[in-house]
Amino acid sequence: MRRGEGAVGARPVGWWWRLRRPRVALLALCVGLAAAPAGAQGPIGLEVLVSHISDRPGPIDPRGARVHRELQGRFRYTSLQVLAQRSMSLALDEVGTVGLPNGKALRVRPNDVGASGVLLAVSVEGTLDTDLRVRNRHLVVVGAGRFEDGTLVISLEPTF
Amino acid sequence: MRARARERSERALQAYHDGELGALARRRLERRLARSPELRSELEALRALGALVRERGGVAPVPDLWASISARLPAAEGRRAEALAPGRFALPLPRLARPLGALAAVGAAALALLLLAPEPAPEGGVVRWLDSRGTSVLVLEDDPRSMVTVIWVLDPLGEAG
Repeated sequence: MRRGEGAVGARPVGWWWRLRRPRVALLALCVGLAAAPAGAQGPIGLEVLVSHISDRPGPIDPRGARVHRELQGRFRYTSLQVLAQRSMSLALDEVGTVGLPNGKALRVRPNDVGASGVLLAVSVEGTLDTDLRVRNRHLVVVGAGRFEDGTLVISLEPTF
Repeated sequence: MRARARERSERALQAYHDGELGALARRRLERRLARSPELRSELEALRALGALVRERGGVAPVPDLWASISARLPAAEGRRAEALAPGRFALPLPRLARPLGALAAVGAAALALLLLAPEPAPEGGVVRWLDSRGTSVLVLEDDPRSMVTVIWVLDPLGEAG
């Protein structure tokens, strides 16, 4: 019998066999590590806020405080009203849709999560398509064009 | 043989364009892109095609566009699984070469740990690609650490909002 060929009850004794188990474990480790970023990712949380800013006198909606902090001083408006607020939990490649007050739709699809954040495909129907690489809790504010007497503002904040 | 390699390369490029590659495969392809002008021009062509498709989609909306994107995702999953399949590790190596395989596995594990370690800063900005159908857009990305990006579609008169 050649060394290493297992008859019933026989134990392989060659140096190759001694190397075999650690090698298999290392291969499993490599495959596991390579698969980890794509497979081990849980759902992506996404806070979506749809607001309307205008020059019409009015309050700043407290739900839109963070958006207001970022926009004031950059754009001229006197009131901010939150029209819709949605919390979504999306798996990779799952599409989340939010209806907008102008009859269009916002669609978001997380494509990939890496060390530099989540890659989001964002589409504001008829207005804008974009791919964004966003870190955890990074706020993205989109001015989505004229709406009534002001501007429609969409903010996205992913959590993962 | 060459045709198969080319097909594999095209599939990888398509997956990269669609944002479907894992971190390791993406880095590997980005290194190849940096070296190969031909590959870069293929990627540009893919991007141009994507923009054209999106543009057409804007003129005549196709209700099932997103559904069809979702429908082709299983194929993408298949490509990803293929890239990770252990089959390429199971080449019929000569007996003496097998211990070298063990050493190569150790090296690969070390490399994987190195490549998958957290990066200190993001590569590039937040906005990776944008199509506003010809309308001007203002993008405010001050400091990557500010954790805020503003993308503002300007109205036809050029006013911000």
